[in-house]
Amino acid sequence: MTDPTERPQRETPIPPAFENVEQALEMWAQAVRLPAAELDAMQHRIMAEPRASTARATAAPRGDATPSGALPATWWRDLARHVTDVIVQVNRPPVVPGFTWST
Amino acid sequence: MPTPADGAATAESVFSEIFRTHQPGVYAYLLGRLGDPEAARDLLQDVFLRVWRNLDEVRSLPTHRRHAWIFTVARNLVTDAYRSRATRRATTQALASLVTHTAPPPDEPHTRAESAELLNAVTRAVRSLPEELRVILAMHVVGELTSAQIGEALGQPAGTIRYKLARARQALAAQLAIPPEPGMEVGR
Repeated sequence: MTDPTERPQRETPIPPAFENVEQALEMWAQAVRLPAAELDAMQHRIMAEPRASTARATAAPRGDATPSGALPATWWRDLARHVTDVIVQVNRPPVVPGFTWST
Repeated sequence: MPTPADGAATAESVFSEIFRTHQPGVYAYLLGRLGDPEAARDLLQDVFLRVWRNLDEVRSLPTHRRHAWIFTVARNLVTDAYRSRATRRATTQALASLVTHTAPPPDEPHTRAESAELLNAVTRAVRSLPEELRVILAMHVVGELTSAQIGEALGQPAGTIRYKLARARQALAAQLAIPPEPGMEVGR
């Protein structure tokens, strides 16, 4: 005999099985494919970037190389600073707790 | 005599054609390798940014070598991505987050829940495939490439691709408790 105060339990819906693999794969493909609008936007973002030849012809040299292939003056200056930093770090005595350098 | 403006227009139309032709296959390849649609989309943009920056070189190549050039870039970028810890983390989570950025169909709530559950089941099954089978399956199903085109991109005979596609389908059917179909088509 059932208790009249007991609320009927909702049955958990059982997902229907796929009829075949193609059906399952089509569902997956639709979920992961990129929308056309997103692809259009991506294409336009890419084409807004300078091309290699265009960049060489029009843009001011940035990065490691000038259009002629020679390295820019800023590159040498940065390298000199970096080498100086390394030399200073290498020559700095190690810090050991409780130990002092004495002569 | 071509003006600079003509040259720019030509470059854009050439790039559009290359993008339209190769994007589906490259995206599917990246999806198969990485398992994560977000990471695949980001790398897709990186691949075609390199195409755009080297358009003069790419456009001068014959079609099959252009295809190989683009897939080599994609492979190298995947290798770089694997080296990145952040991308590896995203890869392990893989398609688990897929449902969150998949637009649900405008159905009843219980139907949406069922669809999400089914999609999760398929996603888990695809993710459980060995990477090689997953790449081939993604290129065939998502990229809509033929066995011959996949074989060309991956450097394998079309017959081998068809065999691996059949294996991938069988593995999926077993995972999803789908009875095997007699005479199932294994590839185009």
